[in-house]
Amino acid sequence: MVVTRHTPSLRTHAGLPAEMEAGATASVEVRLTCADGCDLRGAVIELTTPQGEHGTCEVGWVEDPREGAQGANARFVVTAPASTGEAEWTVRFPTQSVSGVPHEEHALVLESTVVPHATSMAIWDVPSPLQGTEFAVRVGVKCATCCVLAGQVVQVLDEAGVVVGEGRLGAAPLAGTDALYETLVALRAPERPGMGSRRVICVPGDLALPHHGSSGTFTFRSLPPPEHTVTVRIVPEGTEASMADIEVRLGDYRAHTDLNGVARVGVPRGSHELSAWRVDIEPISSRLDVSGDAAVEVVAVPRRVVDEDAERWG
Amino acid sequence: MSKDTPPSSISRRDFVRTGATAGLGATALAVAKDPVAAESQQQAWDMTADVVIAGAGVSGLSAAVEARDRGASVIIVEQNSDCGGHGIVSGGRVNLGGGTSRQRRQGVEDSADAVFEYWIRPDDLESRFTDRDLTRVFADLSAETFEWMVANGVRFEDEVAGEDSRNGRTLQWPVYEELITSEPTRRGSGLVRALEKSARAKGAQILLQHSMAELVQDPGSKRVLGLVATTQGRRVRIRATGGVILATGGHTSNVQFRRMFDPRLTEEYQVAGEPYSKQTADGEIAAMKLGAAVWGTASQSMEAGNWISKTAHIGCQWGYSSLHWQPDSPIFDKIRASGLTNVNWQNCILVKQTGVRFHNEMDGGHDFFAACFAWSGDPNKLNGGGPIWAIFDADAVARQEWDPRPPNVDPDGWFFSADTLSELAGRIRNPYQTLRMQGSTLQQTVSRYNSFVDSGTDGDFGKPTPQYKIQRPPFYAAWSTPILHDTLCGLRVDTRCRVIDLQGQAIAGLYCCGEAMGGFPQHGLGRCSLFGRVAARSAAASA
Ligand SMILES: Cc1cc2nc3c(=O)[nH]c(=O)nc-3n(C[C@H](O)[C@H](O)[C@H](O)COP(=O)(O)OP(=O)(O)OC[C@H]3O[C@@H](n4cnc5c(N)ncnc54)[C@H](O)[C@@H]3O)c2cc1C
Ligand SMILES: [Zn+2]
Ligand SMILES: [Zn+2]
Repeated sequence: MVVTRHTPSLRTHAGLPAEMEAGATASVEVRLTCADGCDLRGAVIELTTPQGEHGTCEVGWVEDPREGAQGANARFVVTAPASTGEAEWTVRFPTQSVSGVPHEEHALVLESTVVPHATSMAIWDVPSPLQGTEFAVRVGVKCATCCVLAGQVVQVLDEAGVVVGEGRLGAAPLAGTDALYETLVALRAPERPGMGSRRVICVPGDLALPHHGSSGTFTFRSLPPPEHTVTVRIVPEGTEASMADIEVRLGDYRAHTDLNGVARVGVPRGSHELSAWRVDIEPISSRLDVSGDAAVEVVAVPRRVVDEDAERWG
Repeated sequence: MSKDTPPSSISRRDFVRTGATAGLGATALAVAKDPVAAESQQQAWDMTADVVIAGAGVSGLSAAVEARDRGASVIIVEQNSDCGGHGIVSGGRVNLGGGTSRQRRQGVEDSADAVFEYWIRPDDLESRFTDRDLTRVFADLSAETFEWMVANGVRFEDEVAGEDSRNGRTLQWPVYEELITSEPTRRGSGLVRALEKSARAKGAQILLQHSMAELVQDPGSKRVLGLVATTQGRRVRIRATGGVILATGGHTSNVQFRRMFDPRLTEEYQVAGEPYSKQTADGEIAAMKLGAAVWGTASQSMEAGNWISKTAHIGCQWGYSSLHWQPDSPIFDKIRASGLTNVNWQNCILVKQTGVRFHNEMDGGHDFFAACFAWSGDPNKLNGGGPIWAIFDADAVARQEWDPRPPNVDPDGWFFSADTLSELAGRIRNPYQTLRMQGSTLQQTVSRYNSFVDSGTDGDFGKPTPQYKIQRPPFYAAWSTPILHDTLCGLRVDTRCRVIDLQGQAIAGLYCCGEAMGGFPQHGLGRCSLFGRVAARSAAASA
């Protein structure tokens, strides 16, 4: 008697994502069918990972809306290897008997390109330093999959590409973020006033998984030293609110008001734009010519609530 | 629903029961002896009234009250589960004047002629394109309509109106009535509920969750005999012996329709007044099928009037400035988020879906809107400008005293946050976001903007003295796409609010008022109520 062997087949609907980040997982479903219509539940299929490890998986029975019917399916979770490049997983149905009928071997290869983790950067607390003085900026770096980046080095480069500052990311992520590791980088402002631009780079190394580097740029304005003090008093009108702790700006020179609504701002001589704003008051803005110490009073009125339905009478 | 569904065969018993439950007056059930009755007898009607009104907004409710005052029986079909339409969420500023008792009491001089002249000024965009025949009607009935509102129970706050308060633009705020939104400025509810109470008390029957699907026209005489409404999958044929009044609001919610007047107004633009009620041009479309003309279309694209707004609440789907939805709204499940409010645009930049800035954020005029509508760079979407996102940082949140969490923001497509700008860009997903925002683009946009803060000058779009850098994590993206408002053109009507066809002839038995009507593009309530009354007078007279 001739023993007929059945021919099963394995396929996937979506396969693996074309790109996977190193160490990332993806779930994949394969569907197993027999040309002769056997119920293949309980059959065993094998999985070989890119690293050559083997595993097995029992075929289950699930509702598959894409097939419009139930069928024999197996679901695996695969983990991308730590090394980047093309990676292959082999799903194999080894020769086996199902319900007493021998079934031939069948294999399916799943492919994906393993890529390094993306990282990205934020740079903040950039001041307008006085010319020729020390200042510092904060730099934070985040891995898209939230790896611990503690201890990684960030470098600040000047316009000529020379490293002018360096820092190491701290041990814990910044409060309020998912995984932004940060550091303070000390820098020195140029001797002359004006705009400056710096580039910040971070190329993570010595991590279990490969990472792309990230970079960012920031600008700053170095300021000539102040010569005079302008005392600005904010006088509330039509509001009982305290005028304390309002940021008062004279161009790039800033100070906060004290409990009496008074701020003392040091500025060089010249014309400066005086501005102040807080959420409960209307923006304050005026021009001030400074040629010596001066005191000014500005009026703060409550924020005007715009009711467009009232404004527009049509 | 299919066109050739046979007329529903409701038995006489059902008919009587329908009528009785609904409290129809004797007039409604009486068999009319006019030619209309003869024509319509061939068809099975489920209900009958002298005047049948589609829409229970301010225009429909006003028409109902007026029609009842003139002895006509009234049925209103309203597709929403409650009355009021846009009026219920409106500010409620009723623009009527021309010498009201209130104006006289306050020493404000005004007259019908002054109203007329004001509304036909050639040097003003809003009045330049008005139909002067309709403007004359508005002028003549303006004061009278105010007194009529008061007589029908609308209570007005007694602010002093002042100089500005003439010419049909009087400051007249109804007393705030109820909570659709707890913003106390939503005083339109006072107007709506008073009119609704009056209409019901006078015997108008309001069928909620009944949507006008089509008009019924006599094939021979072309007279409109009634309408077909649908409710819970059922068709209800309602006969109108005097006429059908289209009071369905405007067309702002209908993307295909609104794009006839401005191809830029693609699907991404949301509508103030939604999600309470929609203005889907049902009235206009039903009438246009019978040959009706549209009118006053210049007013729709005149770049003036209340047709669009910059958002004042960001990070939610509906950010119309004067309508700040609160969680205590009974429809908050549909609204989902209130939005971060009181935006000082120095705290944010606005970017297109690609992550590039496009205009001075401090502007909110028509140049700003035009820039929003400008091509976003999507080769597959050349019209409309795509989503506009406000981008800001943790410092801005602190300065604005915002709490960027639900229910203030809607993370389900209208608000995003991330540790870096690059990640923020990658997270933005919204039904109208047709391109992926690239992290590098957003990062570059912000670096460049931050350099403008250092230099004190916005070298790209002239934002006056950019104040704050966007730098401290986390970073945020909040929906800030301009929101559409009133419809400013609609069906052509004559001075009796009869709908006019393309030959300039009235379509017998068909009337229109409110935002669905063209020719008098005043913002809102005053004209909607006034022309609702005019339509009702005409329809009642021919019953
Ligand atoms: C937020 C906001 C604030 C406003 N503030 C002011 C203000 O302060 N002053 C002012 O003058 N104006 C204001 N307006 C404008 C004013 O509210 C509207 O112009 C006016 O209420 C429109 O009335 P209407 O009856 O023509 O249309 P709508 O109010 O739109 O009413 C139409 C009704 O018809 C129903 N409907 C639609 N299609 C069908 C159908 N097929 N079958 C049955 N029913 C249907 C709708 O559900 C709706 O209830 C404001 C509008 C908004 C949105
Ligand atoms: Zn088999
Ligand atoms: Zn990582």
